[in-house]
Amino acid sequence: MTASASAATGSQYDIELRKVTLLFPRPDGTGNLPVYENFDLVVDQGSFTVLLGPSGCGKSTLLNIIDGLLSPSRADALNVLGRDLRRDPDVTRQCAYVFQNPRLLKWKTLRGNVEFGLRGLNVQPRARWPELMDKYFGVVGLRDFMDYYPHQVSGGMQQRAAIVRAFVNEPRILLMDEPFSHLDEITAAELRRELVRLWTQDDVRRTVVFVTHDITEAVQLGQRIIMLTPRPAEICFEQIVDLPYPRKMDDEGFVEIERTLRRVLVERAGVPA
Amino acid sequence: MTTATTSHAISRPVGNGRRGKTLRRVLLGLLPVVVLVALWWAGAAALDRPRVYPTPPLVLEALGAIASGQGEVGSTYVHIAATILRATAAFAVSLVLGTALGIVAGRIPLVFSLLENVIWVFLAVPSIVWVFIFAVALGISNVVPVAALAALLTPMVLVNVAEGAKSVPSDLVEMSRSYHVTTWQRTKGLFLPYLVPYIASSARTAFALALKLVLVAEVVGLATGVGYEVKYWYTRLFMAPIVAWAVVMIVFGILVDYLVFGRLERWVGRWKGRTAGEVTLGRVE
Repeated sequence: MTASASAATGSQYDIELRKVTLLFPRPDGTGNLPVYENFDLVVDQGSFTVLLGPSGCGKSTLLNIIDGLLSPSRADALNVLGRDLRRDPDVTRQCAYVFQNPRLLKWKTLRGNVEFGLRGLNVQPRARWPELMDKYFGVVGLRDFMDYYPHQVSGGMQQRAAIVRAFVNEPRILLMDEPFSHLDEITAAELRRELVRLWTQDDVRRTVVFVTHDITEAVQLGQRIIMLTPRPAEICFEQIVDLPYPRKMDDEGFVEIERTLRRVLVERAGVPA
Repeated sequence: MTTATTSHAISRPVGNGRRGKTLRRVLLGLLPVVVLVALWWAGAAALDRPRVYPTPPLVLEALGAIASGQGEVGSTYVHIAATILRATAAFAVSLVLGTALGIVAGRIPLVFSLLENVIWVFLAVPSIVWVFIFAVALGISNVVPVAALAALLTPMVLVNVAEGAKSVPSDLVEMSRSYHVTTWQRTKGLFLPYLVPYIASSARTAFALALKLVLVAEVVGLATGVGYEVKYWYTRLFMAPIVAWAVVMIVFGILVDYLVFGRLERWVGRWKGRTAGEVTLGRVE
């Protein structure tokens, strides 16, 4: 209890990273490769933040740091929900992570996989589990497939189950790492719509940090788009998107923002046009 | 005559599909056995010393004697039961211990480094030496064969399971860390199910070895078991019962392998239904 109490930081942000430095040793042993150097990021409660950047710039790494899966080499602050996650690692029980690939256990049914997460994050009371599962499997249209094994359903359905595994915990923070990048465009578009519906229908909105390298996806989902440069990753551009959800891709404002981002990505993030 | 029938079956075009194929395979498998038995019979008959070189009917007779339960050194069923019990106990101990240590060693590199050399030494010790070590240390008792076999089989299971535990996909481990899954839940829900194929194949080999090596321990210093029976007939220079006991062990070994481990392996393989499940393994960048 004392440890938790001393972990309180009084941060008003849901996520607050200050001067984060992460060094990876070079494979040839000639010193270290900085992935992040004195990197700052704050995320407001209830916001939908998109981290946009070229592949390999360390976007996923950042989510791993926020989730406590990876410790940076140095950091002045690593606060999640106002707690220092180095001193109170349990605070990341309030986070749920959707990975790039489903990462389902193939010996468990979709229901079993979702339960694995519920049990891990110790969602209480347990009596609510069936109701929670029923709700979120229903939202993504998998209610009739709960008792199937991953290999019996399509890749899109597997990823939906992975999304259910995260949402079912009703976490304060959702971390999503290019969750739709391995899916065909039709399935991906459908899941993006579902994600927006899930997120907007909650009374208290969850904080979402969503990583992507897809500009259109970023504009479709994010309230705030943060563009990162390759290593060492730096924020090179920020864009606030205040278009109403669900967003129409042929909307003038939408297209305009897309165009801006595309231009900036070429100019500042070192992506060839 | 048998050979003639066999070749007939082979040369006949396989008209009735699967059944014809199965029949052909069975007949092909039986052919060498038939040939060997025929050679043995001819040789034994030519040598004409049935006590040392028994003919197949004499071995069958000895098998009949074993089946009747009445033996010169007590009930044959008691001996069989003693052997199976010892082999099974040693097998169970090795499987549990080997799996537990294997998971720990596979997941914690430090433990693996610590155990690595010890395992090599254990694996290199000849089985008969284990028997004598435990016989001297513990005195002649039922514990000796079980301990000697466990010392022999545990490292084998350990190495296999550790190899498997090392190969658990790191993205699944990361997922379970992200969801704050407890060590126990991770072991039960992730490591053990993932390791089932490794454990099953170790179990198959370990049981087969246990069944063979338990006789060595029994020969050295026990008054019950199939090994004791074999030694008894050896001291009396009587071959037919020795071969008969071998047949008993062979049949038992094959039956267990087919009925228990064969089925287990098929049950384990049920996840390999479609490759779509593999999407969860191996991260594509």
